Amino acid sequence: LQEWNNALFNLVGGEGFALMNTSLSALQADQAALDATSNNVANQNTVGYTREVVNFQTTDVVTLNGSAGDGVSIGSGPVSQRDRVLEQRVQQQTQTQSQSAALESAIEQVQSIFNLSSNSTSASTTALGTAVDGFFSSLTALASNPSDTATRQNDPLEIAAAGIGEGSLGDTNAQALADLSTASIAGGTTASSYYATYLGQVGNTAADATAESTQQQAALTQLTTQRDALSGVSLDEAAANLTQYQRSYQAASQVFNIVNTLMASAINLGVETTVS
Amino acid sequence: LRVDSNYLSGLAAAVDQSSSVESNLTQELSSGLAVTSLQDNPGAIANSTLLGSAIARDDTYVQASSGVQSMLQVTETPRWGRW
Repeated sequence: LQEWNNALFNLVGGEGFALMNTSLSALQADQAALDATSNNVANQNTVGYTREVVNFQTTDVVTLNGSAGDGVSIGSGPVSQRDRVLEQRVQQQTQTQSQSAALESAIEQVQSIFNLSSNSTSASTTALGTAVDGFFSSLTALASNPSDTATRQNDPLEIAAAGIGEGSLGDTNAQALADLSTASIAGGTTASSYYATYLGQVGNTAADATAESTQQQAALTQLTTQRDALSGVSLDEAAANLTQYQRSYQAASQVFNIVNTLMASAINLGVETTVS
Repeated sequence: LRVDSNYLSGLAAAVDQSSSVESNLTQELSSGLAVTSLQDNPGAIANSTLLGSAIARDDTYVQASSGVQSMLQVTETPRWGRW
């Protein structure tokens, strides 16, 4: 009877509770791990999500009339798997890529002003270039026939083709204006040459902006891929973890059940049906 | 193998890119021109603009000289008529 009392005292007063607490902490830890795994699976397609892992830690051993383990914990909770340097690089690259894309868009708007078309003499003409050529062409026509009313737009008073004292057939002014087509009047070169150079500059700038934007996008994609390789969710891994934590939960539950049965048996002094 | 959470956005970007290329090629085919915007070939467009301007000047010269030639013929005709 004394031995039975001692065993009952140890079981109810110390070891039983310790064992129950151990299995309880295991149940809670496994439940947290299952929650984290479930959360990972649910957010597998969420952009920017970082998977969470649970690190089991042994809690401190309690030393009181002998030592007893106090179970397991998950520390401060699930830990997101993220590389700070990589995350920062992704953020920086996202900004850089956005800047390049905005610049490309703006330059393409400028480029669209110079809409290209074709005619019988040129495969790529612009409205402004045609207007400049037409302007000087009209002046040349006027210089060759200064008294023609059609060339003068039906009103001789509108354009003073003749110089002072030349009379209505004079063409000095018209000729001087027409000569501007081959004179260096813009940036040390002719108007058409300056315009052609400008078109080339706009085109080169647009091509550079497009190439830059493409390159930055490729770099961003590469960094994002690297980030996902570390922080992304693996369904295979999640399935394995799910099975592992589920089995672990079942095992802890089994231990808890056994302790519960033992405790009930001890408290009932062997009479099973009184308390279960 | 980890799930690519950017799969859809990447796929959409790839489709956009392909659509843009297709549109550009269609435009080239329909117009018969390899250059549809300035950035396609800036150097070619600059040279084409210069050539176009030179051709316009030459056309103007030809037209002006034809006009002058016509006027000279008009002027000469009465003299031959009197002879």
